[in-house]
Amino acid sequence: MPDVDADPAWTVRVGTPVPLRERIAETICTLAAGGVGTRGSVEEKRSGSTPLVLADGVYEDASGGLLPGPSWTGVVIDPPPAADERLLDLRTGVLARTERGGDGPPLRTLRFASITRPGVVAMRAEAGAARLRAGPALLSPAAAPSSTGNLCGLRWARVTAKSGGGIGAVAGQRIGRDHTLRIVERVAGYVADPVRQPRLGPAARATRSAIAAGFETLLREQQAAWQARWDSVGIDLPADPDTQLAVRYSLFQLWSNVNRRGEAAVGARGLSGAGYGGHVFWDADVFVLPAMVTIDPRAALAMLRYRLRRLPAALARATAEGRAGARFPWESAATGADVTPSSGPLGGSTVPILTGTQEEHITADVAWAAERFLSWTRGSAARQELAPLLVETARYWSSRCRADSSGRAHVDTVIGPDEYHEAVDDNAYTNVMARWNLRAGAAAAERLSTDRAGRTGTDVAAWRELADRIVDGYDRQTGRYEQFAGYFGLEPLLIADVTTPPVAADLLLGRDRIAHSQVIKQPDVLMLHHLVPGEVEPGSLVPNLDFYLPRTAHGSSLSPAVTATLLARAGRPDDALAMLDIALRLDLEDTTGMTAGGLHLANLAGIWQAVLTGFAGVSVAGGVLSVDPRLPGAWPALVLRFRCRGRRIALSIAGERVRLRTDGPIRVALPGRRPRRVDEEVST
Amino acid sequence: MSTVLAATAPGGPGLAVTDVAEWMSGVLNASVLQVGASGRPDQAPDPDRVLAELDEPRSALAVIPATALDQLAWPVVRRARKPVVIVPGALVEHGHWQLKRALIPLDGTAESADAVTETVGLLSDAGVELLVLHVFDAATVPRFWDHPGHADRVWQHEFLARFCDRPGVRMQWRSGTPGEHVLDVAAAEHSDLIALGWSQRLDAGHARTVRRTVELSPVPVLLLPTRTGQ
Repeated sequence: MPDVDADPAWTVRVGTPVPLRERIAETICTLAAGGVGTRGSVEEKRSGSTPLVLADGVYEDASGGLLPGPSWTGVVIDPPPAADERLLDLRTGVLARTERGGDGPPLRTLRFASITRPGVVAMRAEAGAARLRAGPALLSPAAAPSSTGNLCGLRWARVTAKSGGGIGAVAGQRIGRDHTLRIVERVAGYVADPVRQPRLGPAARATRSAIAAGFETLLREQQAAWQARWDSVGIDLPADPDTQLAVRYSLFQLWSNVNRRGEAAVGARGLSGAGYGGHVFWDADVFVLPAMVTIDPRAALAMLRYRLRRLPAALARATAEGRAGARFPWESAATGADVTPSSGPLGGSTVPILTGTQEEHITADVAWAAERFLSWTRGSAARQELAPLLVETARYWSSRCRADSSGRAHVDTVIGPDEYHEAVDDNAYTNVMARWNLRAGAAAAERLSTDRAGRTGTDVAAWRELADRIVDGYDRQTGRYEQFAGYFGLEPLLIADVTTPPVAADLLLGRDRIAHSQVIKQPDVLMLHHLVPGEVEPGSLVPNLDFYLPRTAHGSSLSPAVTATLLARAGRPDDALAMLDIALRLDLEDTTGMTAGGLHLANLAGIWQAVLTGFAGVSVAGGVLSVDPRLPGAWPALVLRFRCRGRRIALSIAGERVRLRTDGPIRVALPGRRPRRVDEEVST
Repeated sequence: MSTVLAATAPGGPGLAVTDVAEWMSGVLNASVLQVGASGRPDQAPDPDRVLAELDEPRSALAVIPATALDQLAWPVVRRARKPVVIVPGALVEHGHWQLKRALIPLDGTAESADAVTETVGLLSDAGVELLVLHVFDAATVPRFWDHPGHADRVWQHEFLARFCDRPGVRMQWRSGTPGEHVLDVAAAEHSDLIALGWSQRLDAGHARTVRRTVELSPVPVLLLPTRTGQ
């Protein structure tokens, strides 16, 4: 069995979990690539285990969850190991498992999802010959219609969704002996299609090619490809090894869970579990995408293509509601229709869920994601391709705003990112994002030589004029934005008066009490300082942070990482590090109690964002990469590698010294320096 | 065959105790053994007698009346090594009881789950409809609850998978203190039985839920000792 380097700086260890935590271990050890994810379940049947293979964008039906695909990791081990250890090697992208204790040769397995051969997965298992049997190379999930068969020495299986789509796999395995050991080597190729039955031919060809290459070659390819990834993107933070490992884990799972081919429907839990049905929320646009654009811009573009291909559905919804332009759904799956549940249980009663009808900021969030991608990358082709996301969303806001008698524009009856307060008017986040969207849409429309969306009546001057009239709740005396009209008049409850955050305050206090108080779920006004700092008043971060942070329950898993970013930007890096720590533990220590349902992908992305844009202070505006570090006392030095504007950037920060290397020309502004073109290296 | 002890005298005020014992014997595939007071067939037995019978290997469970809590019920359940059903006074005097639905309050610890696992299995196998209740308080409320429609489903699925992994089991949660919700949910769900794991400690600061439930419940309460308690 090939050895795995158990370097603690690069490996996540999971010992034999108690049965209650088996599903958490499976989530954490997820391997994914090429749009196919496999939970890190043990190979034999184990109590509490929920093996699962998922494919990007392949749902059971129009509003259901992700379709479970054929499983490729099952073998028969009798007796099963009493104790074992799983080692997820981030550096090479393999999951190794070793039996602990017991008599005779231990069970050892090693598996990976190939990043060089999309859809191909490989596993090797070895144990005493009397204990190990290969069994079928593919197993169909019990929960979905499926068919299996043999074809020229290979096993195939296909699972069919009600929508007509499906997941197919073709697998081959070789069973060998080495003295007292039985060795099983298995390779499978996966194909998936959201709308029709996938053809198995490509999977069979990929599998045959992989078998011909051999397990050792596949493994070497995998190791080399992951090394190349880490050479271009990563973190070195030796003074804080726990944070370093957790950030590397975040990068690993982001790379793995976001498909870079075609379009990427990045659900809230990625491909690591069935939670949240694989549905796509603003998590994808505002949290995952800005991370991916610095990790793998092609994957970020695939995410935007998911939105772009659902623009017709967004246009249709706006039309149906008597609006212009495009209104994107709060929660979407395959079709782009809104699949937000209309009600849900809460403490023994069924309550209406209004996010689907009122959390309209998602429309501006989608536009923001497109603009973020464009500012961090280069290339006019993408600018042309993505322009409709900016233009049609702006057109939506132009029809959504209401003018009062004084001419000021309002957005009524919405829910902001703080979901504790519903049906509010003039939510600052929604209004300012709408304002930003109108301006960005106007600029995008102007950049097009003609209105390429084929629509008439794009009055960019009117959009800009409307943007100037949108109220934002800013109070010059206090420097604060009012979160929504009437917020300052609510019960001035601080979260410290209730309990220690993070806490799901709505569960603890009840929806009514929360709705009448100033306690908020997550940054709302402060999301503006995070996303569109150019749209808020200069110097308003600190007064709003000071006001809203004591009122924030952090009851959303999105909250800690964003707050860490904001605290770092406010010059409070030690407080930021304490907040980042909450985010780092969220999945690795299952502090949500729900990691069994999958990784919180937006939190993982937020972690990387906090390090890159928060602590290191990396930003891009006007084609200039700026660096403005705020490192906590525990970090004497930080090295980050990332992608920016078509370049591979290596940034070293040590105390006051900043050094930046690039593999090609890029405009850079270091602390206290004017922007300048850098061809190779610059330092302070 | 194992036995279910019915701690009341035949023909006395404990008809419902016998009813409950008969139902539980059906669940356990056991026979009913009446345990009366020595020499006083019209009175409930003393705690030591019940405990001695319960310690017999053949005894699986005892059913006792709540009519004299301090004299019988608390002394028995505090020391019992096996499950005990306490039948409320109202039911003892007037009730006719049948077991169709059971409420299983769980505090989200392995101890309380272990305590009820075997009984939950037997109840489930006997066709009893099971509802698990968990009550969040300031110490146990989840830190994160992203989306009401989805978080509830994921959280409940995982809670049941960890603590009550039986097919068909439903779940509800409430916020507050367990004592204030167990009886309300039992009433709202028309539960015929409340099954509680407990540490058998009645000293100050302990067993508030058990005390309140036993004292006020209109339906029988099944107390299952945790290993910690034993």
